[in-house]
Amino acid sequence: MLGELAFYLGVILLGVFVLALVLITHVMMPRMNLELPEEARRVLDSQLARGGGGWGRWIVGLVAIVAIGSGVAGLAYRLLHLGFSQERRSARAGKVRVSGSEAAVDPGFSEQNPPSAPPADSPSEDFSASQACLPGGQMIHDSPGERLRYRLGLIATGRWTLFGSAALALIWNSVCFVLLAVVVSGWWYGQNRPILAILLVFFFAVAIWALRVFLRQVRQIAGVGPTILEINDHPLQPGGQYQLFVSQMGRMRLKSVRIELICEEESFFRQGTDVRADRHTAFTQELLREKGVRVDPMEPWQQQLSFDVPANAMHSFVATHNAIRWRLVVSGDSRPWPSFCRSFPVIVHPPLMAPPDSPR
Amino acid sequence: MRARWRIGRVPVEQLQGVEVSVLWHTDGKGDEDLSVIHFERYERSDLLRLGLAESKSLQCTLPAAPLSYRGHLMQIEWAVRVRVFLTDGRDIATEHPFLVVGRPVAAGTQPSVSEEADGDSAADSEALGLLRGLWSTSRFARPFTRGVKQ
Repeated sequence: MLGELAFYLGVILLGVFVLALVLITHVMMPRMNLELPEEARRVLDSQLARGGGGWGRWIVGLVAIVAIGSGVAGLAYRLLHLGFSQERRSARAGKVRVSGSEAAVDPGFSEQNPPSAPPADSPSEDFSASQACLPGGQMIHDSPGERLRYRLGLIATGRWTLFGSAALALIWNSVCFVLLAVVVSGWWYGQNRPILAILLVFFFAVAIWALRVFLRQVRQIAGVGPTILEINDHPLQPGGQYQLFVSQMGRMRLKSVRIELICEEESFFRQGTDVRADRHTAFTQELLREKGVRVDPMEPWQQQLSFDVPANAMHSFVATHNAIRWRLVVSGDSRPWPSFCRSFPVIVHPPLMAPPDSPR
Repeated sequence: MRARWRIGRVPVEQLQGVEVSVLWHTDGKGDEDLSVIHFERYERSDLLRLGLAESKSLQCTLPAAPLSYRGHLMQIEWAVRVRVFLTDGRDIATEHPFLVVGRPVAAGTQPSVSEEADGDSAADSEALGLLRGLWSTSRFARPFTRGVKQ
């Protein structure tokens, strides 16, 4: 808390200092008509001292005013919450109505007007959902399916890895070819570089490895055809029974294909200055396993199945540092393409939450 | 959820304020998440006026989620937390955990929120040891009170 106060105080003082400099240099100095030495006059008249031109001084002045404003706002907010308990800060952040002295007048239960009951003009469901840390499923509800009610969205995985491996392959190969040009030009002009030429062999080995990794990832993403998953109802409820339609497109021969319902715990924690994540699969239910699947462009592999969500299943939960996520996972072991694994997040609501409207 | 609470063993003159919260928080490997569902604050003047002899009521409507959970990496704990601010600048917090469990929806019925508030899905609590609470009992309550990490 003291560090934050010092930071905002520093921002305010820096803003005041810069604003004062701007005002003194551009407003007060010309009016004072001081007898300055020639060198000082030259410095003050220079473009640098004028802030890089006509607009420069005003931009600097504006930045200083913004710094003062944000510093004052931050300092006021921190001072306003100084000495507040963790619960009081959380109640304020969550816009929970603070009561106490009024409720305390009547020591008995107030049946007609409970202290934190939702206001009469707001739906009680919204009141509950806003505090329940349930993830929003609007993207799924806006996506109607062809066979069943909703089409589930795929988590895009591996894109950043693909960009990383592409960058590594490109940069490393470029460096190798530049060094190759140096070696070849040296040989051409009679200045041989044997050590660099030997090193170049190892460099090219790494370049080929980087290129192979990149191509394998391209094949993994682009080579396997799209997977479509549709479900008859969403969000899921513990104890509910659901229909699932799965379609795998492309041209490949799968050794096996598997569909699973997975619940995963996710925790984020600070370790020193790093933020680390840990995941644990709390529940796995195999919905389908099939061997020797053949997929043709004209005839995609399609299955319709039903599954039950366990009655004692924990609902989805998303907070700042912790989460419980449910997803349907389609994984396949294929040749000659690499194996694939695709995740489709679903939301499990607690039993008392009302389902949303149909997208149709 | 309905409950009653009372502070004992501390003279009212030594109290600066009291905060009563109904909240859930996470515990486990990840950093803590906390959300206050109901919050009451009693200033010194309120406490002097009301005194500590009478137990005070607490009533709020719990949201449908999150439910209590005990997993491998994380737990979700519900509790009533009472924080007592003393005149010498110290504060003492104690909390009484309770469980919030889901009630399966029977076929063809859609329970209303008022039913939830009156029913057993909302948790009632039992005793607040240090605070000598006089809580109504329920099968979901856990009969102990614990201190809170500051």
